[in-house]
Amino acid sequence: MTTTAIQVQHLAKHFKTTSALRDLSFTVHQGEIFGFLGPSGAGKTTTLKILTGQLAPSAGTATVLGHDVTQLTPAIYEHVGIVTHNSGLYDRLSVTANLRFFAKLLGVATTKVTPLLARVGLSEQQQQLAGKLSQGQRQRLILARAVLHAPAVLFLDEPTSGLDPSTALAIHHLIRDLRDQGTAIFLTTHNMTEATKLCDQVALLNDGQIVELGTPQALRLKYNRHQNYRVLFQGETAAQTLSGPAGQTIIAREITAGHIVTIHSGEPTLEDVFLEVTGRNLE
Amino acid sequence: MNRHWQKIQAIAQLKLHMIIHNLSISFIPAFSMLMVYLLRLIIHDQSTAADAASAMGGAYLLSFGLLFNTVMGGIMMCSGPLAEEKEKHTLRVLMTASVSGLDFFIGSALPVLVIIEVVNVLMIPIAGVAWSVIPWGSFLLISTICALISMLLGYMTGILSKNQTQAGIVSMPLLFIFTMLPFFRVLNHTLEMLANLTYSGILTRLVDQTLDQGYHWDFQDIAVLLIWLVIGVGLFLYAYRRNGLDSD
Repeated sequence: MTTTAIQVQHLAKHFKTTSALRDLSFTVHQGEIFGFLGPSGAGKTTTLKILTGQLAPSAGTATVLGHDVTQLTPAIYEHVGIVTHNSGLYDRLSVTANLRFFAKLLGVATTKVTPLLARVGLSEQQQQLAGKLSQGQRQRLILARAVLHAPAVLFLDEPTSGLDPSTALAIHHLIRDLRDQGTAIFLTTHNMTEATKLCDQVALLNDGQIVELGTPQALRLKYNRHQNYRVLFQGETAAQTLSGPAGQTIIAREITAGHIVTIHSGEPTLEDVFLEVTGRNLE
Repeated sequence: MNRHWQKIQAIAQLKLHMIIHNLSISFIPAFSMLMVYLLRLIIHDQSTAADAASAMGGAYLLSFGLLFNTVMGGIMMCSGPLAEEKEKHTLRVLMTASVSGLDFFIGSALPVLVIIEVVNVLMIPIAGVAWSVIPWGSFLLISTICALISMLLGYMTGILSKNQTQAGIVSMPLLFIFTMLPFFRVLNHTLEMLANLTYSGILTRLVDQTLDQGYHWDFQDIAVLLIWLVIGVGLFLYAYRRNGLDSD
């Protein structure tokens, strides 16, 4: 049985003259990565701020671990981890001292600090002042701090933005491990590849509204209206796109003859789905 | 161990580290002691004789040191670090990492109060005054209340400021009034009267009277301290309720 970690019903947020969020409803379960996808200005960060108790909603309800987000107490925050773009660090403390301070705050054994730093690739920077870290290293330290206490719910706002591919991959492993340990992860991103690889469920957000909700696979199949295949035949240098009954006949014949070098189904990416649903790109 | 106490301890250790490693703040108590020592050397050189002169010098120097350390130190050691936490976005991290506003303020205030009190006690011999003449109960009580009022004003300034520069600017009138007014009390009767209506003025009265005929509590001192304590708490609560710790 899955346990609900985040429940959002008809959530809305209005600022003076604009509606930032309109009628959002979704559920995130324990052990699930929920991707919240949308272009800049779609309302991702506003939603994250509301769910973490930093901003009051205008209408609707939202709960985290069964508690109304407008009533979150320090005791509830002990089970929550948050990574946002403006999460700060104590620049005059070393990398280790930053984590040791939060370990003390959160009642976590300080022996967990060194292995965690190794996990996010900051072993060599342990004694370095946080203020001297590169942007990517800061981001990793902020992530390490957010997962130090193995939170039940983790909010990640573009966690791999600006990171090199190998570091991003290490972060992906860490996020998956947390999911496997039962953490519910709410991830905002506009990186479709990341969302497809990581997320169990995604919500596509456009102008403050959820325009699609489901598993990445289900959404891609739902919009796979022109089934096609990218096929590279022996002796050719470029793949061809084949579709329809005629294409399928060719593929069946060439597979039997052993003339196909590579074949890929051409269902739309999440980006294509977003483009089709909203008429706009995610970037 | 109680979780609240654990968090308060962690914050207090962090704040102590940050104060020590922030020269523009740790400079204040150190500067107060250094200035008093240097002024004492100058006054000693210039006073030709007389116990009276040295007694006056002692009162002047001790008042100077206590005012700088208690008022300037109290306000700046609270407003600066709080504004820095807001500027660097670490305050919001703390608030969403299970730290309550009360835990934060107690943890932040403890090291500041200890620093102010220790330096105030050390200031006595540095100013050339014997520890034996100090009415310790009154001295510690008045200097602690004055430190708390300064700290409340400092926190109020920190809450109302978005960054350290703004905190420095907003603090300036408070520093000027509460440091300079008692300092210039000797210039004329009006200034002395006004100084006696400030909490920092009571601190200097304590020193003046201690080194003159001995200090005795009177109704005016108690009333002035209590009124300023209430004003300090009121302004702090007003700022806290209006802005929260970190409005955005």
